[in-house]
Amino acid sequence: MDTSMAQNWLQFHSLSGFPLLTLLCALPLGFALVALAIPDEHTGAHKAWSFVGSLVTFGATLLVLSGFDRNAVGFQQVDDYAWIPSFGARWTLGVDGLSLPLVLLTGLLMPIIFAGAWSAIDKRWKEFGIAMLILETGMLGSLLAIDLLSFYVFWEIMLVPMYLIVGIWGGKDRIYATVKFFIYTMFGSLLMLVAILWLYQKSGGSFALAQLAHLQLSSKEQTWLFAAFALAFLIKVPVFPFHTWLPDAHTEAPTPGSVVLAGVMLKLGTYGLLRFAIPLFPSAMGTFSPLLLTLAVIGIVFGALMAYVQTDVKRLVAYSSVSHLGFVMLGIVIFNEEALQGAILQGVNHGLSTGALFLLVGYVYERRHTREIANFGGIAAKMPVYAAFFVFVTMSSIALPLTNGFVGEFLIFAGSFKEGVQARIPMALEDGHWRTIVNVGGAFATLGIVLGAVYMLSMVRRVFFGQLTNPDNKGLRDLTTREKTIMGILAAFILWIGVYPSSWLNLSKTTVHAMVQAHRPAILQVRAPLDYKHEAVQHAHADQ
Amino acid sequence: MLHDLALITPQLILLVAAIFTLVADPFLPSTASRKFWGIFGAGMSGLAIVACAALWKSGHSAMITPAFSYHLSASGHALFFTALVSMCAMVTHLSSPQYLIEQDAHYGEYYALLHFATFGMAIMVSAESLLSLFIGLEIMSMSIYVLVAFKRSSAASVEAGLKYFIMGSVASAFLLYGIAFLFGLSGGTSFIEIQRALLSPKPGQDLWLGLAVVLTGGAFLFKVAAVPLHMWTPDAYEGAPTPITGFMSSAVKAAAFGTFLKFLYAGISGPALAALHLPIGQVLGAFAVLTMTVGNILALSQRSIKRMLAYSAVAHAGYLLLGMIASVDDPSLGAPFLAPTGAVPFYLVGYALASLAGFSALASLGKDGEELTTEGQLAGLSKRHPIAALALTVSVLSLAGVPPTLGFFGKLQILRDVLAVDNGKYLPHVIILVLNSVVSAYYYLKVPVAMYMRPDTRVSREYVREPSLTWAMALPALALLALGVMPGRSMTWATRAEESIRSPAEVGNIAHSYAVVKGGGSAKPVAAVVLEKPAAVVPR
Repeated sequence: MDTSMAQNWLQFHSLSGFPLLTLLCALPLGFALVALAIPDEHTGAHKAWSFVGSLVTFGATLLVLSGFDRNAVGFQQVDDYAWIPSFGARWTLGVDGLSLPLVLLTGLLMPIIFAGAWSAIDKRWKEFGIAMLILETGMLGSLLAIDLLSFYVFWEIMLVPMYLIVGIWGGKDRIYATVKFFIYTMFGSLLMLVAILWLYQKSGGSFALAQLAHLQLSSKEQTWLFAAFALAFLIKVPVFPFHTWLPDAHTEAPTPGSVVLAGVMLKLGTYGLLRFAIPLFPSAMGTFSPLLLTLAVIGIVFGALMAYVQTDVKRLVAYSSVSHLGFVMLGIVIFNEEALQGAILQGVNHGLSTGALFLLVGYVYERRHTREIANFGGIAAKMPVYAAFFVFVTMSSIALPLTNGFVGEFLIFAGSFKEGVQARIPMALEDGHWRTIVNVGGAFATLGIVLGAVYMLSMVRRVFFGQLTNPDNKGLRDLTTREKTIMGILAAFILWIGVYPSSWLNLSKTTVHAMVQAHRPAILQVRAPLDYKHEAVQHAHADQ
Repeated sequence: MLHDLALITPQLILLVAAIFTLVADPFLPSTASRKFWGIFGAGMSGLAIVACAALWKSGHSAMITPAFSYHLSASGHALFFTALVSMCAMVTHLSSPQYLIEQDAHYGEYYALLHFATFGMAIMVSAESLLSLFIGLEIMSMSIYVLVAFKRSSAASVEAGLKYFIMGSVASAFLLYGIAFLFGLSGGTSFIEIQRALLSPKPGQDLWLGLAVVLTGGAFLFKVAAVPLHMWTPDAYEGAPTPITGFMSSAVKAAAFGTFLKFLYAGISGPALAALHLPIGQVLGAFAVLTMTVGNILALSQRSIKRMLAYSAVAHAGYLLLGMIASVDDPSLGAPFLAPTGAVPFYLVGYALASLAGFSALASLGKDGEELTTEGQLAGLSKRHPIAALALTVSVLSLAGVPPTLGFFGKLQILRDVLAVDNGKYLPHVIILVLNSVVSAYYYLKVPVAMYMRPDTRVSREYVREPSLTWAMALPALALLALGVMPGRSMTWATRAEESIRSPAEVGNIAHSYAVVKGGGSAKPVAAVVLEKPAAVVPR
């Protein structure tokens, strides 16, 4: 296959007449700057202002959606300007089927987070609003940037607001958690920076993704560079064994912080793998596939087991994130169309359902100031609406059919069993290695689904059902209208994706097809050479 | 003569300011009116920057020929660094008055000494000969020794000044000794003469050249506080008045690195040095790695923020030493002559601004003779003095190299330019630098943690709020962010400054002599080249 044709998913499809994407990134920042001028004591004004800011940004993401061509390959609505001419760095933002779902998710979640923070954040609203809005700029920028330097800058911009959010508004051990988060993430990303600069030297002075993807690299170089990129992203995801910062950060973070962390920031790790690490170093991805797949599966099972033994609901949800992101990683490593579609959709699903779970945990924490499972029991009697929402979101989290989680996980498993079985291709000895890993891994991952049901349902039973024994729970109020509205919106999205997933899958279909066309051969060539030959023959037949 | 004087306008402005301050101070009506010197000093430093900009604009061919028979020049390199140290002086002048009043040490000499120090630095970075370099260095050092000990009632301050003085004098002596050897080798003190003499290795000179390099190099490593010659730093930084600590970590460091660069690239580098088999790059790289690692590790355990920043200054000296390796073929001479890239001066801009913002913010902590600089004493600062807390946060984030501050781009350029040397030969050094940044993030984060996240202490602390001090911390912090978003312009200036590290006169001379050496081969007596009058090929 002609490589230039194959990589056209990294080319620009359409330039923008109006710099909408730049505006989208700048909007939250602009609102944050205005908020600087509002005096501290007007808490209400800050609440309203940041909420309006996030709503306007959401409107802008919808504008991006309305101008998006689902059937086009390559980056759309590209803004491309010179940024630091002496460095060869450009300001390039573009959107495609890989980033659009996450951009929409970010836009949707931010107003929900601000609405949820209304009562969850009880001090320093000014700083909180500003930090959250700057964080949104960082997240949107990382999703849209296709020049590696501007990507890196946005990627690091996310770090400081999150560090402040956990550190100022967090729980008891917030300082330990936030410093750990900062140092871990910075460690990963700085090694990535060295790798970016290495590529930059190789290319003769460019940070543009499309140009760097054409570089001829020796296999040793590919391996090391991939390792540096992957480390940064795996820490962010986080994949076992780099996950240890996550439970601490999640548990100590205030509710809005946990929602944004689970909802969007973790997804940036998997996004980074798909956008940068794999296209730049496809054959290294082939080399690392067995290792990554093993880690993903360990993450699934380990996260589920750890979640099962937690006594704190929030920590349980945090470990369930490790497990869920293991599924996303599994889909990415398999790298065929089904699995990738599933991985991208599952990223959105996880953002919705885990975000909803963190909000729900936050609601009860605001009322009781505890999250220990042992302190609850039978509260469904006192909070029926709350219990209903919680059970519904739990169903989504354990992937019940007709909820979003089912669609995502089903696609990932369909993809991985296709990769492992490949009925029409006889299994050759050399390739048996990879296929065995896929099959065994798939089997363990299936076990993870069962375990997911075990820990979630047992938690739900212990918290909501049985006798209401603890007298402190007698006075619990049910959800307010604001809280019901927030959960209603999230539940509607969960149901929508579960019942009619095509509307979301179609967003990324063309891009995923092009990605697989472009990079799967190189990956397969390394990890399963005979399958590669067979697929090449099939393609040749198809072309005739 | 007039031409010569025009070339050193910035230095003259600083000198005039110094003398005027000294003469006019006794005639001021009251001690309170001494605050005027802060504004005056900032204005005069600003004027020096304007003069630098005017010289920079006025074109290169006419203005950057050396003045005073090859002792000073207004090359891009000289102007860039002069403007940089003047900028540091400007901020220090703004942050000083109120601090000195609080510490009960408000005398007019302080401002005069600050001007003298800046003047010395401006001479030092504009030097085209070792003689003017040494004079500038001594003017600077003498003033700084006194300024460090300026809080006469504080034992720590006097001790710091004395320590710095004794150790600094030893370093100066080493430098002078090295200069003597270079004079013996080349028969002159100007960089042109030294370069011409070193164009060809001569039998028997290796020992003397090696000695000269070790002695001068050691002196410079002392001045930039490289490990193991860093011992004076923590005491001097901690004991000195806080604005002076800021001035030392910004301006003194900038001047020292500017001079070191000039000396290394325009002075002693060349075929003779290459023939010495002294791998300067690797030696610098080893010192860099040692310096950054030791600096960062020692900074980890400090309780006083001032002392912590002193060790962090050592670590940054390590980053800058690594940046000194970054070089390209000289744009006008071509290989084998090297010119540094803009990495070091550009990094210094970000580093100086961050130090100034940070130390100005620290200068506002504590009234009536007390200084609140331990971690615990910073608790709750974000509520009581939000501007200081914000400035200090931006400062440490820039020092840690977090985008979008200027400190990130400084580090980025060092990484890029060092990686480009010899096809990634220094990759291990680069990785060590990056890991060091992670370590440094840990102690830098302590500062915002204390200010924003720790609960307010019960003892209510008093902080200094005064307009000029607030400007002194806000302006550098804003500049860090503004230049961090749009770093292109200052990056280009830094690169252009280093492209002209050899003045055109020097380039012409060397090109001529090098052609003679190469063309003549072994037949031509090399000594003849040395004896030629440099003025013969000066393009005017």
